[in-house]
Formats: sequence, structure tokens, C-alpha cells
Amino acid sequence: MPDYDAVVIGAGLGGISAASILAKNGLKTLVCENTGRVGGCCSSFEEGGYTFDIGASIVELSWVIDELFEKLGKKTSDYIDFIPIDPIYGFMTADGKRFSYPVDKDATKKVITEFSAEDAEAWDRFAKHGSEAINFAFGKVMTKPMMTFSDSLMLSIENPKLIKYLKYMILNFESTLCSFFTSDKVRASMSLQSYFIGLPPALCPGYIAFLAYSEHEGIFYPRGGMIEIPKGIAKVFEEYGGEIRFNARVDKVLVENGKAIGVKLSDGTEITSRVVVSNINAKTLYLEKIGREKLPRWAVKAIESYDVSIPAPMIMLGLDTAPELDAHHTFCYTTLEEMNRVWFEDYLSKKIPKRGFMLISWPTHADPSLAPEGHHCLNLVTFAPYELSEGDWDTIKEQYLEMQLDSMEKMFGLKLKDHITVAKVSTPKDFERALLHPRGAVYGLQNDIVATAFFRPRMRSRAIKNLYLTGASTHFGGGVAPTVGSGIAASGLILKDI
Amino acid sequence: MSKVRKTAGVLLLVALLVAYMRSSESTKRYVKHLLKQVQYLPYRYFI
Repeated sequence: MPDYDAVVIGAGLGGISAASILAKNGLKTLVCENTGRVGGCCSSFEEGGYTFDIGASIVELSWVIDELFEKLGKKTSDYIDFIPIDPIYGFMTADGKRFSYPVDKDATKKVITEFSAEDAEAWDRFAKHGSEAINFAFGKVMTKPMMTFSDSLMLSIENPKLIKYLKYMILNFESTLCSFFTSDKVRASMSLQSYFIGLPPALCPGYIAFLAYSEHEGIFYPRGGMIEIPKGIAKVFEEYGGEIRFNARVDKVLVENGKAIGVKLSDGTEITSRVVVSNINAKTLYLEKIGREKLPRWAVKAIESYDVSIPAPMIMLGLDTAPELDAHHTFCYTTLEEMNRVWFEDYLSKKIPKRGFMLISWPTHADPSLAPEGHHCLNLVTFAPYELSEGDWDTIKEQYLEMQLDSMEKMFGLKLKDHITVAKVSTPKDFERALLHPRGAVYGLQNDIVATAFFRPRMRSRAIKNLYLTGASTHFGGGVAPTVGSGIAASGLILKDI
Repeated sequence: MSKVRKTAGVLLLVALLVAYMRSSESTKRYVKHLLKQVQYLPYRYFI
């Protein structure tokens, strides 16, 4: 008799979401977490009196979290206090201009009018398309498995609007934006979202462009830091009798006759289970935790063919004053083409970008309790390669911090240096070590259209029986809502199968 | 029948090639990026 019905590897959002539904349905479930806290990339830690977020900095498409809590027979608000964020973004451009996009669509239209009257009209069309595409097409498939062509066909029959928006799976992000907007400023201001799935506007699928609209349906920050989301879910999990073991690193998935039968921890403990659920990167799962020798050749070829997503080094700052910013999120940018160059000229050449492209997150703007009174937290996120043509991340941390702070000051006039009380740099190597993300990948596997839906590793593994996948490596990809959605979908499959 | 198929195939290829040549640099970059991965799709479908 196995020790557990289900063992879940990793307490990231996908893993803890799946685990909580399994526990609610009476399955004896254990979550083995490598670190000392829940959430994976959606987590927070404390240092010097400040609470810093590790990765994710906001929640959009929050209905997915509500759907999870509904399935758990609970109310989201009893576990997580979401603070609405408005404006969505502040913008700082290299020519010194500052503006922001409020949540209200008409107010955003007014801002766009200042750049182009034609684009202001296009905004209405974009918003209409975006609302349909997100709410009635792509959003509908976020919590459903999409493992085969027939799954997609069935979902298209259930959601006919998917077919209408199919062209945005063929067009790229850049072409989609350019088909609506003509002003360079407007195009650039809506191009950041391509990097939300780890790709430049030139390579990102077109439907992701509508995230620039979906945010206008509401974005939220959980009071207490991003960790409050997985903590809320974990609380429900434990209420239903689920068990979490922290600092329990899974070394191997135990496989017998092509079936997953449990896991082996780094301390040698073997835990058996009826099913194994993986919330770690699919490449790490198949190639390291299972091993090539246990996989069919086609499976090795398949999993080796995926590229992992781009890393996102992060600078976390504690400040003794409020920064001169206008919103929870500030996007520092130059042009859309420069954002493509971050990929084509810097990332592919293993160079750290020096183009001023940066997303600044200011969580204490929404929740002052994250820092001592009068103090603030800032997270500076950009994208950079794992391997560097010159130097190594472990030796250039200080240099990287100086370089980014100088760049913010010179290009955008943002003076932070004199107010820093705590400074931490989380490099791609830190991500890899702490969260088992190969090469520091923050979004699992690269989210190209040819690594999406039924071309992404399946939630119910075909290579190893009784093995299920959640998280950024499987459908729908990376992000808070998609990974929670993957947990809902994977647990549905397990409950059907077990 | 096979001649008709061949001709249709060639015409389709020519049409795709013309569409590619006439597309923007951004689209070309996108298509090239995806084409590099097409060879793996049969494996990816099953994993």
C-alpha cells in the first residue's frame, strides 16, 4: 500500500493548487518543497524589516484564483486580501516624459489621445478584441487540459470565439500591436507584456498582446506580499489534511515498469504514492529526476528540443524614502525595436542589456506594511542571459547593481542610490539554485507558439504513467493565473484517473 | 490526378514563398524562429 495517494514535487502555485484540490477530494496528499517557503516564483521573504517579492509582482485574471477557491468550497477573500491597483502602469521614457495608464479604459483613451487621436480610436477596437479574446477565448482554456488536437477541437466547439482569434496565434505580438496602433510611443508602451511570457515582441504569439487590455479588467496585489497567495492556498490544503514538508528536496522520481511510484528525497527517504505530480521545470523533471535511461527515446528527443525561458535578474531595494514614481508598476523603456534588440543583440550574444528596459515594482505603494514606517521596497526587473560572454553572475553582482542604478539615473532621472538601506541582487544562478529553475528560467519553457497547447509537455505524462505536470512548463505556461489554472486542470485529470 | 496534386503543391509553395518575401522583417524573423522548431513538433505532441 503506497504511503500517499499523491506526492507533489514543489509548492509553487501549480503544485499547491493541484494538491489542495486533491486533498479536498479526500486524497492523502504530500507536498515536498525544496525551500523553506511556499510559492516558488510567487513568493516573498523578509530582510532588514522589508518584505521583498521573489518574482511575480501582480495578479491579473484573478478570476482563476476565485475558481480555485470555489472548487475548494471556500471564499478567496477569507484567505487573501487583494488590493486593487490603479493606475496599472506608470511610464518613464528616455526623453523624460512620464505618463500612466489608469484601470479605467476611457481614462486610458484620453492618455493615448495625447500621442495619437487615431490610436485613441484604435484603443476602443483593441479593448473590444481584448475583452473577447481573454474572457471568451483564451481565458476559457486556462483551467482546462489541452493535451491533444482533439482537446483543442472540443474546446473550440465549446468556445467558438477561439476560432475567431486563431489568427493571433499565427501573427506575432509585434504585428498584432502594429495592426491596431500607429504611434511608436503607444506601440512601445504596450509591448512590455511580451516579456511577461519571456519573449520579445518579434517572437511572442500575438494573443499575448491582449494582456495590455486584460489588465484594465483589474489588477491586484495581495496584502502582505505575493507569498500571501500560495500561503492562502496552502492554508486550505492543510485544513483538508494535506501535509507540506519544507526543505525536502526530491532527488529522484521512483519509476518502475514505466510507472511513477513515488519519490526519493535527498536524505535517502523513499516515499511511495499512487500518483506523482511535478511542479518543477519539465526539463529538470524528465532529464534529471527521472533520467534519460527511464524514458523512451522519443520522449528524450522531445524534452531536449525545448528551450527554457529567459532569466529575469532582479534587484531588490529597501529605501528610506518614497521613490519618485507614480504607480505600483513603472515601465522604463525606449522603443519597441529596442525591446527586440534586448533579445536579438544582447540575450543571444550573452550580453547584459544596457538599453534602459526595466520594470520597476513598488509594492509598498499598495501595502505600506511591507516596510518600516516611511520606508519603501522596490524591485527592479529586467531580462538577461544565464551565461555571460564576460564574467560570471556570482562575481558581477555588485557591478550589475551599480550599472542598473546608474542607468536608471542617467536615462530616466530616477535617483535611488542615496536612499538605499538594503540592496539584494537575485541573479539567474540564484534562481537556479534556490528554485531549481534550469538556467534561471522564470517562465519554465520558452512560450513560443510551437511550445504551446498540445505542443507543450502534457499534464498527464504519456512517457511515464501516473505522472502529472503542473506549473509553467505545461499548458497554459508561466504567470500567476496560468499556473493556478494548471493546478486546477491537472487535479481534474488525476481525480478522473485515480 | 497526381499531376494536378503536384501542380497544386508547387503553386502552394510558390504562394507561401511570395507571401514570405512580401512580409515584414518582423514576420520573417518570427517565421524563421518557428520553422527552426518544426522538426520537433511530432515529438513534442506526444510528450
